[in-house]
Order: sequence, then structure tokens, then C-alpha cells
Amino acid sequence: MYRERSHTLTNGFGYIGMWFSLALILCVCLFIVVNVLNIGADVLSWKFLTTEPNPLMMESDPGGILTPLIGSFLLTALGIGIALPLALCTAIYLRYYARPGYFSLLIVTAIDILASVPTIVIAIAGLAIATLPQLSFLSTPLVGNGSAIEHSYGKSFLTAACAMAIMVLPFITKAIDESLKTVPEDLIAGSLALGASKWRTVTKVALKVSRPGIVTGVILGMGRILGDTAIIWLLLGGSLEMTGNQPWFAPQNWLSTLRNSGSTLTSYISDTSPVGEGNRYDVAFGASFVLVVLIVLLNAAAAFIGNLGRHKAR
Amino acid sequence: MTGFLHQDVFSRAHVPVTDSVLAHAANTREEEGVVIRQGNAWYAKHHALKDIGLSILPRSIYAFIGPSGCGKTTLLRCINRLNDLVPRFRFSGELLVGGRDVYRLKGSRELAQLRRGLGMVFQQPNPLPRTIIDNLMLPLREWYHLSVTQAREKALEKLEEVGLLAEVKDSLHKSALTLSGGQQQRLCIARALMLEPDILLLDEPCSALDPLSTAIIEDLLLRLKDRYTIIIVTHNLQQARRISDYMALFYLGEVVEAGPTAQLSVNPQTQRLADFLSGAF
Ligand SMILES: Nc1ncnc2c1ncn2[C@@H]1O[C@H](COP(=O)(O)OP(=O)(O)O)[C@@H](O)[C@H]1O
Ligand SMILES: [Mg+2]
Repeated sequence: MYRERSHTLTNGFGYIGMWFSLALILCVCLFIVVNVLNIGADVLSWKFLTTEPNPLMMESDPGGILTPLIGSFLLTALGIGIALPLALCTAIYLRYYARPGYFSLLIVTAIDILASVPTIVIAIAGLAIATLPQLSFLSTPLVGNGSAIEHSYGKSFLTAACAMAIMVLPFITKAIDESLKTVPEDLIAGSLALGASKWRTVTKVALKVSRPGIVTGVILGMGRILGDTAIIWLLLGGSLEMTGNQPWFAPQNWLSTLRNSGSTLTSYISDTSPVGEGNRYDVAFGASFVLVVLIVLLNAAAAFIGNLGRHKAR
Repeated sequence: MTGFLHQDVFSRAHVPVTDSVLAHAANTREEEGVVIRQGNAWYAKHHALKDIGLSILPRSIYAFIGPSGCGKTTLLRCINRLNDLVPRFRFSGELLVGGRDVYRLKGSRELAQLRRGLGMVFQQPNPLPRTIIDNLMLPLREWYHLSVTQAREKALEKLEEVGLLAEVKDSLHKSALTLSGGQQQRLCIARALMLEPDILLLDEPCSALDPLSTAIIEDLLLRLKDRYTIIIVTHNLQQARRISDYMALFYLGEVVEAGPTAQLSVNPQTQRLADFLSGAF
């Protein structure tokens, strides 16, 4: 009748392809981890974490990563602090208040587009806006020939945080939306049937029940901010120290610190790498080590909280 | 008003209605119950309820029966306006609860007050993922300024009322989700009673439960009908016969036949009800 088809060859290629890919992934992962651990661990110490970097590191002791570390935390907190309320409002509006129609479609499309814009584009657009003279309160006003403010410097923790917020906004909004989707309709209906208002129902029932998903989304957003470099290059500047009034940590100088440029772990790594002015592999890997640990911890926390939520829901 | 009632509920009565039901009807005022006249409802263009006319007397059990998709849930959710959630849902006609037209209330405050007077129990038990006691205290504390002690006292009273107190008194601070399905449903009934409603709306409350839990809940409803008006949706005819005083058969969005259960089940006036009683659909 018919000649039987043999799939031995394609099956074989499939298996080889699979094993090769897996091996490659493992090797690359191992190479990065070993390198980072090996070189980075040498410089790691309590002192490395708690001293400020020395701007003249080429010639002398490179110092530590205190200000980049603080900068990373600061930027993450500010970025999430701006993005979270906006994301919450948007997600709640879309899921519980919007009528299906062109307007909500427009918003959803805008979020999707924003999610796919490369961060360097967000950064350059952010810089264009942040240098407007009207926005000099976010960074430093630059005075031209006359005494009028010609434009703003544009680089500061505040402007970078705004750009970071825009970068993570679509991801956090989607995470919250996905999480709200899992809230059983009956819980909402049950609350309304007891006479609770829609707003109370959303805040007291829907947000409570979906909290693990929301927290997970926020944590993943934090990871994105911690790891970003494009926005930092354009909007935070490449200086290793905090450039506001000194000492930068004194409460009366907090506002000045926020309105001026600084560094984060990522900008520190690129500054101290051979392409930067530092050319200090060792401290670059030290900072990489800290950055990787932070991001792994964040991902672990996200996974843990996600799991917790799944158990609770049962 | 009573004239209208007798017309509507007993118009098809060719055999004498049982004395107790007649006595009940004579002793109650329908303004305290639910009256629906020319109720029509649409989901967008889909005409889901057609010219419904029903009168539901206080302190009795009224069952909505019929095959699935015939509009029972839709009518039940009109009574507390839960259908407002559905975009493009529309109701026309009169729907009076305690003499007030629920679709002509002014503002969200009146709507909330209407809902406070109408407890609702859903097909799937829907406790919040919180402790048993929290589930009961939350609605109360949402509505009133009360101390935890006062709210707790009330919660225990309602747990007793639904016969759950003995089973859960040592686990009040455990998650409500640790209870069995039947216990969760009784907890939901207790929660629906926390705000002292006049009317209890139940949408197939036993369809997700085993026979034993079903029997417990049926007993409970029979006990509760002295104090509450109970409207129960069920596609289980046997259940309607066991517990209801009145019933209405829905078919494709219309009420085919309505009246006292005892009478309808021995002497149906329409072929549809006769078919339904004999299990044809
Ligand atoms: N949210 C909704 N949107 C659109 N149509 C609906 C909705 N809910 C119910 N329907 C329709 O209305 C009709 C009656 O449904 P329902 O009241 O749920 O029936 P029952 O409770 O008797 O099974 C069905 O045809 C159903 O498809
Ligand atoms: Mg139904």
C-alpha cells in the first residue's frame, strides 16, 4: 500500500538541537556567574558597601559603592512610588469603570505601545521634556546670557525617576490587571449585594484579594529599574558621587540631592569598566555581584509571594 | 392591593388552595413583599425577561423554577439591581420592594440601602479569603459604627441562627476557605443575615453541595421563613416542592405558570408545567 514515513531523522535533529541549546544556556550562565563571583567576591567587603567611591580611582584606592547603591535604591523607590498609584488607577479604571468602547481601547493600545518602546527612546524623550525651562524645578536651571532660565539641566534623580516610572508603568499596569482578572466575579457581586459601594468593593475586596499579584508585579518592576542603564545615562548623569549640596545625606540637602545627578549600580559598573574612565574591572565586578544578588533576591521574593497567593486562594 | 394579589397569584386556581396558604395570604400585606408588573429585561438586544408579573408575599418561600437559561437568575438579580454591573443591561416595568420601585431610586445611597435590606446568597459559596468571623463582621462594620465586641456578638448570634456556631466556635479565626462547601454556604447565609434584611435572595444555593448539606440548608430555610421573605432560584423541582410555598415556572424569559406550590404540583394548568413536573425537560 503506502510506504511508511520515518521520523527518526527529524526526531534526532530535534533532540540534538534541544540538548545543544540547553548546554549553551547552562555554559553561558555558568560563565557569567563564575566570573562575577570570582572577580567580584575579591573586592566585596563591608567597607566596599559602605564607603563612597573615589572619583580619582585610576590612581588610587577606588573606594566603595555606597552612593551608587543608595542611588539605585532611591531611584527604584521613587520610580515605583510614581508608577504604582498611576498603574493602580489605570488598571482599576479599565477593569471596573471603563465601558467597552473606543476610549478604553485607546488606553489599552497606548499601554501596549509604551511597553514596546525601547528604554533609550523613553530616555531621550524624557530628556527633551526634562530640559524644558518650565521644568527646572526637577533639576538645575541653566541661565543663559541674560538672567532668564534658558533651559534646565534635565539630569537628576527626579527626572530619571519620572522616566523610570513611565518605563515600568505598562508592566505594572498589566500585572495589576492580570491580577484583578483572577478576582472571582462572585466576590465582587457579593460585596455589592451587601450594599458596599463600588469604590469600597474595589479597594477592600478586589485589591485585597489580588494583592499577591500586585506585589509580584511591583517587584518585577523594581528589577527592571535596578537593571536599566539607558535612562540613567541620559537622565541621571555619569558622575560617581551625588552632585547636590554636601553632605548629600543631610536632611536639609535631601531636596538638592534629588534635584541633582548621581549614580546607580549600573552606571557605576559602566563607569568603572574599561569603556568608562575608571578601567577597574575588579570593582565593576564587585558592583555587578551586588546588582545580581539584588535582582535574584527580588525575583525570588516575587516567586515566593506569587506562590503564597496561590496557596491562599485555595 | 390585595385584589391585585388574588388576581395574580390565584387566578389559575381551579382547586381549593390549602387552608394554611390562604390564611397566610390573607394575613400579609404584599407591600412588604416584592411585586413585579410588566417586567421586561434586555441584555443589549437579547430580550431576557418578557412581561413578568409576580407577587411575592412576605414571610414565605417563593421558588423560581425552570430549565437553565430561562431568566431566573436575571429576575433575581433585578430585585437587588445587581444586573447594573452588566454593561447594556436594561429593565423596564415596575419592580416594587417594600412598596418602592427599585429601578426608580434616587442616587447610590438609596441603592445601597435597598441592597442592605436584601440579603443575597450565590450559587457558589463566596466567602472572602479571610477568617470566618471577619467575613461576618465586615459588612456590619462597613455600615455601622460598632466596636469589635458588638460586631462579634452579632456574628455569633447569626452563626447560631444558621446552625453553624457549634461546628465553628473553636475556629472563628481560621480562614473561611477551610470550611466545607456546605458550611461555607451556611456562612454566606449568615453573612447575608448580618444586616437584618427583610428579604433573602438565593440563587441555586445548593447546586454545588452534596445531598446532606442540601438537606441542612433546606431545613434552615424552612426555619428562617418565619422572619424573612425567601426567594430561591432552583432548577431542582423536588427541592421547590419540599420547601416552597409558592413557585413560578420560567420558560424562555416568561413566567408560564405561578401559584401555590401545593396546588401547582398536583394540578398544573399549563402543558409546560405538566411536562416540567413529569421531568420532560
Ligand atoms: N451577563 C449576561 N450578558 C448577556 N446575556 C446574559 C447574561 N446573563 C444571562 N444572560 C442571558 O440571559 C438569559 C437568561 O439567563 P439567566 O437569567 O442566567 O438564566 P437562568 O438563571 O434561568 O439559568 C440567557 O439566555 C443568558 O444567555
Ligand atoms: Mg441561573
